[in-house]
Amino acid sequence: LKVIIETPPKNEYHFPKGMKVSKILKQLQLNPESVIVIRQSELLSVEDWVNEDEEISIRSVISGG
Amino acid sequence: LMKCIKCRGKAHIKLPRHNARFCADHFVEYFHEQIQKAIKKNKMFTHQDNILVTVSGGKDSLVLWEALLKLGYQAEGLYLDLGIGDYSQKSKELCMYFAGKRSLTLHVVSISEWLDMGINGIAKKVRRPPCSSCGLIKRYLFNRFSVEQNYQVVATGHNLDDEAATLLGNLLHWQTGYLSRQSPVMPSNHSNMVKKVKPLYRLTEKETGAYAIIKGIDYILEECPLAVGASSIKFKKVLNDLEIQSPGTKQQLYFGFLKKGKKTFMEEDKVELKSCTRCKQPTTIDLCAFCQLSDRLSSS
Repeated sequence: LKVIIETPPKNEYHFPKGMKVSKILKQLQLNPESVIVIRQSELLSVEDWVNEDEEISIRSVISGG
Repeated sequence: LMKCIKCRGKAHIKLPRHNARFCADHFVEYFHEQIQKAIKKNKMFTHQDNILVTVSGGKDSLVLWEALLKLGYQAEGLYLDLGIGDYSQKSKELCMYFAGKRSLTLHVVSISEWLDMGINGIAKKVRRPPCSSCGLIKRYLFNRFSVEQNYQVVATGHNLDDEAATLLGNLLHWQTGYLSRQSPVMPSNHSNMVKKVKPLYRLTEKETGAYAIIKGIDYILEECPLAVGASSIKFKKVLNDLEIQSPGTKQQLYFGFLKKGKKTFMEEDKVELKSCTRCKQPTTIDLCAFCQLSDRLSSS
């Protein structure tokens, strides 16, 4: 399972098996209120399952200024 | 499988503070309803008004522009080129792409036309943090442009997270002047002043991000390089940590302030607006802050 962090500084993580979005966020210590999760331009909720052969992107939604 | 509370289809987003889960279509419907509620409740504008949306290339302002058009309002865009290298170039291109694809009117104003330099240069010359000069210049040029071009109202993309974080910052420092003025609507108090509104104030940053994905809006993912480490980001993170523990915290803080807290500060801070002796724009002093900045930049 490949996870791409889209917002700079960009980063990439790999997990050996499929899991729920909420668990992925927990492992990466990301607050679900601060990010959106995308699978091929489809918005994923925290309850969605991601298979081990899939790729998802995570974007921070926090902006400053 | 998590289901949409409206149609029982697959849900794509969970909103704990509303105890709701929505599919993409019903999320868009919810999003538009919240904007309509903000507009109606605060009498922001009508379908007859000409609205100027100030766009930065970030998600919130482009989402606002898209949603206002979907709701049938007449909205044109203004991009202010701050002259921050690649960041400004890229964000301008994204605004132009957005407007071009939808055949919309986008005005582009560059601060170097007014002050002969970009934000970086200005910050160095006046030895103040770039965000403080930037805020002053934006407020001035947005207002001046909209007065001169006859727009009835200026709409900005501030969302619930922006407003809650600003409020927290103002409370921590007991900025009573700012507290008396923080509002989703700033009415016109002067003949050369345009009303300012924040139609996204009921929606979180996560929700504007989700709307951008659903609508396929391309926006700049990079943070402004000069805003890195801004305290607003710190406050947003703290508020989101509380939000996860107690959903609805941000909304309670900000809506509660508007309903119960704000009036306490309004009595103390009554300021009289007059016209700047040079440019005629609204100010509390004789020569406005923008004209003073302009003098300072050209003198040294």
